[in-house]
Amino acid sequence: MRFLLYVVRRLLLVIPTLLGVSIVCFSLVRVLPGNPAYFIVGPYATQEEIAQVITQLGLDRPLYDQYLIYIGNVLRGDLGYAWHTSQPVLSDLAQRFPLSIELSTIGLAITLVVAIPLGVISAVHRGSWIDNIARVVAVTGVSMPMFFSGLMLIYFFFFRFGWAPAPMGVLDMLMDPPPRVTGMILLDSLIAGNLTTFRSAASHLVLPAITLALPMIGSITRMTRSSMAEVLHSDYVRTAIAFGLPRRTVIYRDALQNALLPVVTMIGVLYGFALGGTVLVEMIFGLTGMGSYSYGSIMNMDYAGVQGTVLLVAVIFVVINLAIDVLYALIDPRISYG
Amino acid sequence: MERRMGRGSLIFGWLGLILAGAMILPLAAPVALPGAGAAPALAAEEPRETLIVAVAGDLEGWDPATSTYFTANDMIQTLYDRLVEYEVYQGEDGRMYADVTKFKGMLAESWTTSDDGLTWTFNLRKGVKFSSGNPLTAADVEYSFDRAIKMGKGIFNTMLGFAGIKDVAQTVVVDDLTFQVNLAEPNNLILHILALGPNAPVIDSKVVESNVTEDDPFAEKYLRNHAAGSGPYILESYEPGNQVVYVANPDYWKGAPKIKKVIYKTVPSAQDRIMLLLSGAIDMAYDLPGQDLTGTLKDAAGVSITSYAAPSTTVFFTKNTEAPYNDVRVRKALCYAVPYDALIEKVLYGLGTPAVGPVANGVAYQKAVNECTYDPEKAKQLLAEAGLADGFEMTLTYREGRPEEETTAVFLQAELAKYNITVTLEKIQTAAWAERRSAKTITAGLDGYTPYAPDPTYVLNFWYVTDASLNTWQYSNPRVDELTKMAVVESDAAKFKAYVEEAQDIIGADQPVVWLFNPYWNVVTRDNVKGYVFYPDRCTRHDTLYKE
Repeated sequence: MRFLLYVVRRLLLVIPTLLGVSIVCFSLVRVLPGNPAYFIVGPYATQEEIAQVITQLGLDRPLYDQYLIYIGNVLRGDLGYAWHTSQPVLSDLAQRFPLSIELSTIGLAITLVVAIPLGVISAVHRGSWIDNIARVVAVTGVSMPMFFSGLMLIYFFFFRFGWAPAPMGVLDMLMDPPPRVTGMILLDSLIAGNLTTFRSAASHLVLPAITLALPMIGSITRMTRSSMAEVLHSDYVRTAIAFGLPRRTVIYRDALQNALLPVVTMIGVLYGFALGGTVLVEMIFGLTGMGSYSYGSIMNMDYAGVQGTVLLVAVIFVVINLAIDVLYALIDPRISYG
Repeated sequence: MERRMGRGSLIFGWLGLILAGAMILPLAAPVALPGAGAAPALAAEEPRETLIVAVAGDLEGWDPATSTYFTANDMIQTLYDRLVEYEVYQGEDGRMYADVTKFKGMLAESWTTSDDGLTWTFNLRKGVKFSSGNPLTAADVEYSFDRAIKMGKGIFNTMLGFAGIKDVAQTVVVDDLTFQVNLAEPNNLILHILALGPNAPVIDSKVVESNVTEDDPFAEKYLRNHAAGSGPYILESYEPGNQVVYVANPDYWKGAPKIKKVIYKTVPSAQDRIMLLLSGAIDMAYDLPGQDLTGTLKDAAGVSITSYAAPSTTVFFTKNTEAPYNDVRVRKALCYAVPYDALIEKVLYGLGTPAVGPVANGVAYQKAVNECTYDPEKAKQLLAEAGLADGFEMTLTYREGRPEEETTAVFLQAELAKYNITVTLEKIQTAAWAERRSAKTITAGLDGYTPYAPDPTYVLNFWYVTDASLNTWQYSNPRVDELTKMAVVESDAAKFKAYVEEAQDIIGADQPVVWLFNPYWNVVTRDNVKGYVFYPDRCTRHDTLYKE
């Protein structure tokens, strides 16, 4: 009951958070120099045409007025109209967001699969060759910018070896996407039972996901390692081993469980990082997701596009962090929600 | 202990789920990767009939009446026909060019002009069908023109206004296949305007009208995402930000195009576009850096680079109304201070020519009036005469995301320092730049222009006439204004020539801007792509292309 109350309270807190995000984002895009009206009408336009568009967009109204109109529309489910794509923002996001979620999730999955074992083994066998390799991997991953690693991956795997598909979109050209259910192309392919599109999409997503994972692998490996090392030094582990419990059981059952707690927290943060990373990765790999959309919106001063994206990312971020806090309550007995 | 175990298995259960998700990759990847690097499936089946073009960005909307940026123009024009078009000829270099001095009928089979030059009668081609199957009638032409005029905005409306068509009463349907335009005064631009590739299309009035709603009287919403034309290609599918697929119009009145499918792919990274082109995965690429055109791609096997003298001019401008730039000696000094050849080498990697005046290459009646060559002594002398031997300070404004402008700005900064001119660089967002250009608050900056209609009056009217919308430098000379007005309505060719040449002479003497160079338009394709015809609007006519 208390737990449910906690969840409800957290959910209620989401409202002011999102309102805050919407206000900050709304004001920030308008503080940027430049007025989208000039962009929309093009260079040949007369002052009258510009004035007409400014009125149409409501940019001549006071800021609070504009905000109230905007937030009123958002509450009615209307995120506005993105002029740089000529579509309602909502349909743009519905079109593009699933791909970014898919890409981030796969990137994160790769990260966890690689980084956690690597971190644990490094901690258990400190100073060994595997620890040293893990350190090099971590430092390289963190320090190599994604636009560079992405380009290198394309250069070698597409251009030199011809193993990866051309970095243009998520499916082979002219391949029909599976019927839209979730919007996530891999899931939809599976739902439709279409292995051809599944393979095509998977092969298109491997390199971007790896690009996205590289910097995360670095940080998660290092984090797991230090967290694990700390637990291994703790009294209860030493005691357990001293009492003759099998070392393997102690390390991989008791110690690992506790060492992974901070990593679980990090996943929420990393998801945000991964979503942010899609901006670069999608540009490099020619993918049409939320990342390239937000870039296009910013470059074109598309207020509605920027606001819509930021709001959606905020919602996702809040939901994921809420989920992780809830998960935490379930896995960590020291945490209770009063 | 039991509880703890439960929690433990939860963690691992959860991790397991992620693991299972990640299994997708190793499972799928090895199956998918072999062969995936080869050209895409369809291209392998019928490679000679598919053209894949990689572009840097997507278009903002499909409405030809309001599209103003190159990418959109290029993507839209292939879906529509105009009333008239330019003749095509083979140049001495063996390449094909649009002849900007000769017109031929497109949707209009022929046309006549009354003796006073006021009534233009267009006889439409019989049997032309829109992609909807609707037959072309004079009502469609009238609707296309009237729609733009009634909208009161957009590039087509601006262009029609320049051609002297400002009121819907001027457009008349005589009969099903005869369309008439009545002008108040003669106009030299009218055929150029009606031939404008992207912006003067005849739209399918039945389709567009059926999508009109109460709050959208011009079906703008519909035309943002749809096409309603009779052009050589039909819009098959459009995935914003990803790809556009065109199919050849099998019933095209000129005959079905050889290339059956044209695919535009958005590939934002220039390095990707280069690799795609080198690997043969695409047939044509836009927007490649000069560095690569003269480097990696220059002698690459299978790649063809053809540079055309486009009517584009890049300028270094100063606000003519503001001190010290209101002194012509200062503007001349800036002009003599630029080492043009070095600049063209540095910025364009040699892919351009020095500008001879306000009117660029490929435009009829171009006159070489730019007296400047690199002459530092003369620049110093002029500055001294203007009392500025000790120099002055300048803020040079240019756009973000345009590396060639940045290189130019840095180059100019270093050069001008030799004359004690301290240049502060100001890089601003394109939107901010657009706003300041329109408000004319840029004191010194970089800009470029490409006239859509290759006619000197077009250049004069939009860039050099007092208060013209693109006259960012606020140049004003009443005689130039007068000559431009006279030239637009002059029907006598000799007089027309005299007017536009005098105007160019005056502009040359006034030096409103420093004409830096005319960059080439570089067409980059696989070398089996043939049939390219260069049009001054730089858009690719896909129906002339074929693959060997």
